[in-house]
Amino acid sequence: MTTIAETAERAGTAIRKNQRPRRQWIGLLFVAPFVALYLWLMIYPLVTGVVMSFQYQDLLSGVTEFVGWWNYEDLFADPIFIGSIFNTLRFVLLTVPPFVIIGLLIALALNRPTRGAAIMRALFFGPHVLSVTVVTLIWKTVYLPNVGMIDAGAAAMGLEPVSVLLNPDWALAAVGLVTVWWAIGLPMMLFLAALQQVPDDIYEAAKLDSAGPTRILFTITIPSIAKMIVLVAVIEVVLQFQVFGQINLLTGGGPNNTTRTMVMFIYQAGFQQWQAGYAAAASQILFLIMLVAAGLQFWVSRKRGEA
Amino acid sequence: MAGVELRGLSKNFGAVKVLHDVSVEIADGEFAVLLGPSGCGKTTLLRLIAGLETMTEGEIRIDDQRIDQLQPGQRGIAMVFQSYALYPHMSVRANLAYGLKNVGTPKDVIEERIRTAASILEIEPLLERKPAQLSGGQRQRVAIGRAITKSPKVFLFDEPLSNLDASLRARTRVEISKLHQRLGATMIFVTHDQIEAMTMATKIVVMHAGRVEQVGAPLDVYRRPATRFVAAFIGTPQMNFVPVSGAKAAGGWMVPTLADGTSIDARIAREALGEVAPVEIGFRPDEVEIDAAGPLQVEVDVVERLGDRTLVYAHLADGTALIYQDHSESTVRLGDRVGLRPLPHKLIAFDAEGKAYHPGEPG
Repeated sequence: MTTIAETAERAGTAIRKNQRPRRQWIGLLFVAPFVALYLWLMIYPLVTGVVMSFQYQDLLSGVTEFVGWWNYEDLFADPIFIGSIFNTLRFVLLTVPPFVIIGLLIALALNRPTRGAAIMRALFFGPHVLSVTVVTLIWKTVYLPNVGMIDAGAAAMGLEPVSVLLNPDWALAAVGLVTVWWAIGLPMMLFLAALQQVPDDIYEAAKLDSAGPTRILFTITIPSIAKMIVLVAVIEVVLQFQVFGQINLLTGGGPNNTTRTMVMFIYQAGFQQWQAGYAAAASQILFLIMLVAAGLQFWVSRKRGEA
Repeated sequence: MAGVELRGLSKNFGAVKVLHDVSVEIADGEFAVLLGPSGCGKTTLLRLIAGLETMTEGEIRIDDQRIDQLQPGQRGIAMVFQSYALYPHMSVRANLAYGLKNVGTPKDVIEERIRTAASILEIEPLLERKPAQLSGGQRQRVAIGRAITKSPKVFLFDEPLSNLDASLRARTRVEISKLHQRLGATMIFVTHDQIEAMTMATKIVVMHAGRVEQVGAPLDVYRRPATRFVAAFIGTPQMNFVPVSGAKAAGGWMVPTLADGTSIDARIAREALGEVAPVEIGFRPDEVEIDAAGPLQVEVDVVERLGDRTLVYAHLADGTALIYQDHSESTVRLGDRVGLRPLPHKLIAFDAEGKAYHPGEPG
């Protein structure tokens, strides 16, 4: 004889057995639209890009041919491409530290509930909403040889014109300055958001613990927003590796290729010389470098977190 | 260890005055509780002592030295925050050491202090953890530990129990009392919970609307409230208040009379009131005798049987609500009519300003 409990249990197992596979299918149904879009819009182009990098593709004549590592071999034999890697790295090193440090300093200065601070926040964020075309137009009037603000100022003081955008030593730094001026608003806003998450009573506790302002900054404030600092650094590294618009409009890669960055190179290979395979191979290398750089940052910050 | 003296403290937030001329003396080793409802200024007062707010007027002295011009860290105080305010990125050990490191305490002294505090609070196994890995009760202990390691002259507590569940709160209450006995330190504790105040304090400072209403030992404040506010605020269930229309004199005692002319026996000296007429009388729910011929005739609204006693909610003919306590076997039922006689030697009278007049010698 079976007890009621046993019967109930058996019934329960039967229901469970029937339901488990069905539930899984229903779950898949819900994610299917996303998975389909993801495969179509992210994975398919990514894979296509990789495939293209192993092909000779002339977009004008429509010739497509598998060429193995030929594109890559060519790239590493191309001094302009190698130069563009170093230019990109230099640009990242020129801009990311100011984004993090200046962004943090502005945020610290403006993290107060006064009207003045609110106006200053808006002013610093302002340029960020401008398009790259407008930004470069503004800075052209500063950098223009002889008649720009800098050269006119130099002439007024009886100095030689500098013509920064034509000067191989200064051109990349000049573009870096434009970039920081243009985009400092985002790091500032992110840091402000993080700073406002730090509860006031921790600062009060630190004051009661005899910590002065500098000690509070380094032992309380910065550790409290460490995650945001890493995030800002990673975002900026990823963004600045892809620098293109302002260089294209300000210097076009010159003078003497000193501002030719990787995306500039890819653009010219793909859309001016119509060598899609060659451009795709350069893109894969850029992708790899960015992956390594961002991964390195995560790794370093995690190491520091453990220490 | 040291006494704390507050002299004529005032504090304005813009045009709003939140503290009016507060003067309190707290002796060395005393456990003073600042008690009052939300918004009465008790936390502001504590923050003034800590140096986290600047006062508008007045003077704060610890150990007979003026400290209100000093930075918070130099005042010789430690504070336990309501939210604990532990540094989330530091281990418990680093949290305890932080304040000592900042003033250049030698490493071995820091280690020794941490060891002592950790053993008092039984948090040794937690020292290497981060605050996020601790339970609410453990965080609370660490916050107290952080205060202990600093060996302050005065401990400040800002409602430290309000984030704990009921049973943990009761346990922590006992532990803080033990800690006070063990350290013998001066402690100032802010709460709105009168049970916490009654159980832990050696001195209660009752505050209301930015003013000190009464300062006294817990039982004094309970038995001899200085004002109607204190009488109503301290004690659960609340004291009963019955409006009176005037008072006669009989044998040196004041005899309050209700609007319907009923006289109520009291032991308040007629002289104590002078020309002032009482407007209300007050008595606690357990300070009443059930007597069919009593002067207060009530109708029962709700009966709460608590096991060891019975609380009866009732009302007078004019609608005044009363609560009285009956024994556990009481057979009283909803709608019953009951006669009550307040115990004359417990009855308190209040004048129109809310000042209390207590039973005493006849005059």
